[in-house]
Amino acid sequence: MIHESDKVNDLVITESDLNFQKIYSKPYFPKGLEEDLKKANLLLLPYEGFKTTKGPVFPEQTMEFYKFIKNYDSNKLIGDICISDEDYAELELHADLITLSSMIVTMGVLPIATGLIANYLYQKIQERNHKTDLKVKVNITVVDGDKSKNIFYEGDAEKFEETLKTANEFNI
Amino acid sequence: MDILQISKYLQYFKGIKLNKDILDQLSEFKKIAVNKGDQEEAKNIWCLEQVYKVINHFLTAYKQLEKKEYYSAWCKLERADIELHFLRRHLDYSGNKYGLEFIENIINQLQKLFPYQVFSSRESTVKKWRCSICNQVISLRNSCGHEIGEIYNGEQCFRIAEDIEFHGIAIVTNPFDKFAVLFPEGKEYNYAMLENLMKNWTNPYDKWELHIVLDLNEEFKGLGRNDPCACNSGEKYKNCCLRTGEDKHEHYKILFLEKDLKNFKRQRKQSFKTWKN
Repeated sequence: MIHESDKVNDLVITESDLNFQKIYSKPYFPKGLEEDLKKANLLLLPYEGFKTTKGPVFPEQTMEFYKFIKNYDSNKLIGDICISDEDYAELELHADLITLSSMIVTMGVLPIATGLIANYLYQKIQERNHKTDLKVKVNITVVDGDKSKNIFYEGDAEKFEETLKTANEFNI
Repeated sequence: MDILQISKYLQYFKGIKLNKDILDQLSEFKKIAVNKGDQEEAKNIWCLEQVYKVINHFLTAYKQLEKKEYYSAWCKLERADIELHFLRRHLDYSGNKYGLEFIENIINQLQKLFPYQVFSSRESTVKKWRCSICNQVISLRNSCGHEIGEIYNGEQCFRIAEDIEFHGIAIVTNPFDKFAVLFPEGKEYNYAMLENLMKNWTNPYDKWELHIVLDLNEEFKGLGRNDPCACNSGEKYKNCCLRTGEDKHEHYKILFLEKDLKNFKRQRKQSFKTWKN
C-alpha cells in the first residue's frame, strides 16, 4: 500500500493461483465464523506484512465499506470480511486516495461486485468538492471454477466502472 | 436574533468580522431543539454552525494573508475546507447559498498559489473505535447503529480511534489533510504569488479567477521540430523536450473580475521558484 497515485485508468489483469480454499486455510481466517464465511461469494481480504505491523491489516475505512456491502441490495451477492472482530485492524495512511480492501469473488457475482464498488465510489465522489479527481486502488481476485484471475485497477474513481466494462467487452 | 435572522445574517454577510455571539446563540437554540426532540431543527442549527465556521475560517485566513502569516492562513483554509466537507452532504449550497460556493472556489484557487508541495503523513494501525455519540465501542459486526457523518442531537457522528500503534512518518505530496507542511531547515518558501495577489485583493469578497496555462519557455520559441533541442541533449527537439513537455512551464494568471481599472495594479509576467534560497 502506498500513499499516492498519478494514474488515470490503469487496469492490470494477471493469472492468479489464489482461490477460496487457500483463503480458508490462512492463519487469519476466523474458525469461529467458518460457517458464515464459507457461504460468502465475496470476501474482503487483509493485507499481510505492512512494514512493522504484526498482524494482517485492512485499509482505512474498510469497516465503512464492509457495512456498505452488508447493506447492498442484492439477492445473489453474499459479502463478508475474512477476519474476526478481535483481530480487525485498520492501517491509516491519511492519503487522499482510496485503497479498497483486496477481495476475492466468484465469477458469477463479478458484475454485481463491480456495480457495488462503483456505487460506493460514487458516494465518495459526491462528498468531495470536485477540485481534484478522486484516485482509487481496487484489487479483485476472480475465481472461475478452478481458474483465477487478478484484476488490479488504479486511477480515477469515476472511470472505474467504465474501464472494467470496456475490458469485459473485449473479454480481457 | 432568532434562528431565521441568524440564517439571513449569514446569507447576506459581506463584512470582515462575524458577530462573535452567534455560535453561543446557536448552541442555546440547539439545546432547546434537542430538549423538544426536534431532530430536524437541531440538524438545521448544526448546519448554521458549520456555515459560521467556514466563513469565519475564510475571513481569518484572508486577514492572515494580509499580514503575511502564510502558514497560519494555509491551516485556516484547510480547516474551512474540512468543515465544508462535513457540511456538504447535509446542506445544498448550490446557487452560492451563504456565499459558500464563492468561498469553496477561492479556497481551491488560493491553495494552488501556496508553494507547499511536500507534507508528512502518519502511518499507524488502529484496533479500537468508539462512537462519538453514544461512546459505545464499535466492532466490525457489532455497531451501535449511529452512522458516521450523520447528525444526532445536533452533533455530527464520528469515530474516536483508540489503541493506536504508530509505524512511521511518510513524506507525501497529497495527504488527506494538508496541515503537516514540511519546512526543511535552511530553506525558505517563496510566497511571491500570494504577495502579488494581495497587492490587488483588497476585500475578501472581491471576485477573482486563477487561470493556469502552459506557456512555451523562451529558449524554445521559434525552434523547429527537427532542430537540435534547446536543452543541449544532442537529440532533436521533437524527440526530446517537445515529447516530454519539459519545454513548457505553468503560467498562473489572476484575473480580477470587478476591479476599477484606474486603481488596478497590473503586473507583468514574472518567474518564481518554490524556494527563496
